[in-house]
Formats: sequence, structure tokens, C-alpha cells
Amino acid sequence: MGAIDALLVQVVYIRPWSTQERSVRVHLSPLLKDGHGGVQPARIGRAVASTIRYRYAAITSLTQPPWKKVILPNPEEEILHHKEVIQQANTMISERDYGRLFAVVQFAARQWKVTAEDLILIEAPLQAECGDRICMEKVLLVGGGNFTLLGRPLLKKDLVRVEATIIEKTETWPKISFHYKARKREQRKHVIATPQTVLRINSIDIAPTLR
Amino acid sequence: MVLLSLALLMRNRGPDRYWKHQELLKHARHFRGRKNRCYSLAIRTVRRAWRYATIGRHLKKRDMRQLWITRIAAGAGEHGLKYSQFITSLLKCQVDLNRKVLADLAITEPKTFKCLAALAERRRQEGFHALLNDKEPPGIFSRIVQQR
Repeated sequence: MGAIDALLVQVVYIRPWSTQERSVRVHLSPLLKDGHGGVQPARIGRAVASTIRYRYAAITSLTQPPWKKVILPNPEEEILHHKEVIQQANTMISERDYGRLFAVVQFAARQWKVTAEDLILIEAPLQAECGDRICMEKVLLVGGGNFTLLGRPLLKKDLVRVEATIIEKTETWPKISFHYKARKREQRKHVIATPQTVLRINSIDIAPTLR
Repeated sequence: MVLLSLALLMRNRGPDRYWKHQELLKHARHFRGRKNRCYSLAIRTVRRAWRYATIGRHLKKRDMRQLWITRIAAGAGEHGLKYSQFITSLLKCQVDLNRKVLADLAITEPKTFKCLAALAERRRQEGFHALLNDKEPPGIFSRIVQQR
């Protein structure tokens, strides 16, 4: 190569984009001693990279992929951050710093967002009697004023305890299922009264520490 | 000899027509006009009302789910996510909260919802990272990767 003039060009691989792209300041001369007028590709010696071929290209719409570059945070910093957060949550839990806790509980084929002293109407019969105290085991989420514990999908039984009492076992008001076709003398009437249970959520407790 | 023909002509339609009508009119007392008092007008309206109530019980479930989805989409939009991205990312994180509860949290527990949105966003970025770094999924061989 002959005398060098500064010409900033991005060196790219033959494929339009790749995560291993590098930008290198390359100096080129427009007039090379061998008489070629245009830009020549640089030949890389075998010692540097034997299998990769370079080609000079201007920065076009295809040099970068159209999606945003994904940058995840540093794993070590993340681990430290997680430890801090868990410690803060542990101190809050051990000092009972939370005010009123709420929980999301899976019960009778539905999910309920529940706090203490709540009344719940469940459209299903329960095998327990009125006045029995029940512990709801499937807890998906527990939260206080400044922290939330999220289960994947459930939280452990020894971590949260949601207790409820059965107050009432009745039936729904008589719902009428009526099928009727006009001018066709077709009608069917069915009165439905399904069983209902009313529960009062007594308390939500979290065990002293996480993990 | 007993003369039966006159007796047979006089049919007894039943002693309790009044009470049967009252049983139906009680379902019509809150209607407007004569159809809350007159049986022949009420019977037609009450039949329609019962039919609409039966159909409405099925529609209510669909409508409620639509409402929850709208609310979740609004909440996720406040945190820079779309509803579909939010829900799929949460499912991939094995968080099994249903739409009713998510809509409730979006309204009453904004901090928790913000954390859920952040979790979904992070899972989404990790998914992109796993795909967009020129690595083939395991078990798939292609010429491009072998050339590299």
C-alpha cells in the first residue's frame, strides 16, 4: 500500500450485520502505487484471522439491524442489587413494618384479591360447617405497603398463611333459565338455585424471613 | 237418570287463576305502563325479560373479560408495554394471575402493577437476547453457523 490519507470507513463483514462487527479507523490512499484508482480491499494476513474476509462499505440502512440492541445489565451488579432488595424486604417483614397485607388467593376455581376482614361470596358448596376456620393454601401473591412477594406460580405454605371463617351457607336467589322462540310455541323454564358460601377472611400472616 | 251434558259443557278451568297470574305479575311490577298490571300484556314482556336475562348471563362473562383486558392494556400502556407483550411475558415467567386480578391490581395496587410490568419487560428483553445474538437454537445446524 502506498502513502496514506485519512479516510474513515467502517469495516464490516460480508453479512450485513453481526454482533461481532467492529469499527476500525482505516487509512487508505485513493491512488495506489499499483495503479488502481479505486478503493482496494485490505488483505488480512493469515496470522490475524484466517477464515474471515473483510469488505469496506459505507454506513447504510443495512449496516445496523432495524431492531434495538439488547443490553442486559451486568450479572454481578444484578446479584448485589437482588441481595440488597431481599435484605430490605427481610427487615421490613421481621420488624412488621408493613401495614395492611393483601393477598391473591386461588379458591373455588377463581382468584380473589383479599385483605383481612373481607367478606367473600363463593358460588360453590364447601364441605366445612358454619363457624369452621379454614386456611387457604394456594396463595399467588402477597403484598404490603412497600413490598410484594410474587409466587411462580404459588408461594410456599410456610411463607404465607391466609385464614378464613365460614359465616353462611345458603343458596342463590332463584334464577330463571328461560328459552323461548316467538310464534313457535316453544318454551322451557328452569329455576336454578345453586349453593353459596360466605367467608370472612380473618388474617393474612407472613413468616419471619424469606429463604 | 243423571243429565250429564249440561254439566260437561260447564268446564271448571281451575280455582287458582288469580294466584297464578299474581305469581307472574310479581316479575313485572317494576315495568312501565299497563304491562305491570295486566296479565296478557305482562306475560309477553316477562317472557322476553327472562330470555334476555338467560342470554345476558353468558354475555356478562364475555363483557367482563373484555373490560379487564381493556384495563390491563391501559395499565401496561402507562408502563410502555402492549397488552399482548405484557400477558405473554408474565406467562413465560410462570406468573399465573388472571385478568380479573391483574385489572384489580392495576387500579388499586399501582406499585405492584409497575413491578409486574418491569418483570414482563425484563423477560421480553431476555427473550430477544436469547434469539438475536446469532446463535442457533440447540439441535439445529445451518450453513451460516458452520461457516462462522
